[in-house]
Amino acid sequence: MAPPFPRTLMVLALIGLGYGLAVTELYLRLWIALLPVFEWMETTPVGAIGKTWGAAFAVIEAFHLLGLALLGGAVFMADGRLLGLCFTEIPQRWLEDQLHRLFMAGLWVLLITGVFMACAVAVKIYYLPVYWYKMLALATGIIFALYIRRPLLQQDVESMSPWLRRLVALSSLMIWFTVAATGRWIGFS
Amino acid sequence: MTDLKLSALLASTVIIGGFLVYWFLQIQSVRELLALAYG
Repeated sequence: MAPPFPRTLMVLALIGLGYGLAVTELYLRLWIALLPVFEWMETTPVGAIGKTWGAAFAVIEAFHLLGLALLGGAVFMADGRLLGLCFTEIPQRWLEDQLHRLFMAGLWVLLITGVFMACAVAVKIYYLPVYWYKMLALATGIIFALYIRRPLLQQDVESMSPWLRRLVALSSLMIWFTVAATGRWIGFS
Repeated sequence: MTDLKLSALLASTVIIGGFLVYWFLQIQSVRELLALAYG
């Protein structure tokens, strides 16, 4: 028999996992164990191209920023609509469906170009705390967007509490802002 | 409250709390660095 609140239990389990890793310092062991993976990433053909061919890295980074713009634009428009700040004349459900496609396209561009960029500077980013904060924010953002926000907004949004709508929109904006800001921070570290 | 709404409430609260703590600590550390550098 399935538990009565599977999604809530999953969220609680993830919060507990994160808290447990931080408190028991298991994350340090995990971090140390990941060093060979990052060293290997730099030796791959993708890593070698990114490291030795500056133009290739610059072009990929440009696409990474375009992906960020696409994802950020979709998030701003969708959450702005949810907050009632813009596009209020457009039906919520229709706008959400259109913007979700843009969001997913931006996310895929970010992930593919991000892996390329990470391979080029793998050992450098391995030692940057901000990189790990970005990964944590990115994982949280993806899980939140696909596992909670999207299914929630596929229901009847108008019947939902306005406070819950605002809370979801605000947290979505905050998490993707953190992903973008920490991402740019890596570039300046 | 349904499972989906409860999970959204829980996740949103944790995200907003984490966001506020993280950026508060970052701003605080920059303020301390600036104080060290310029008094």
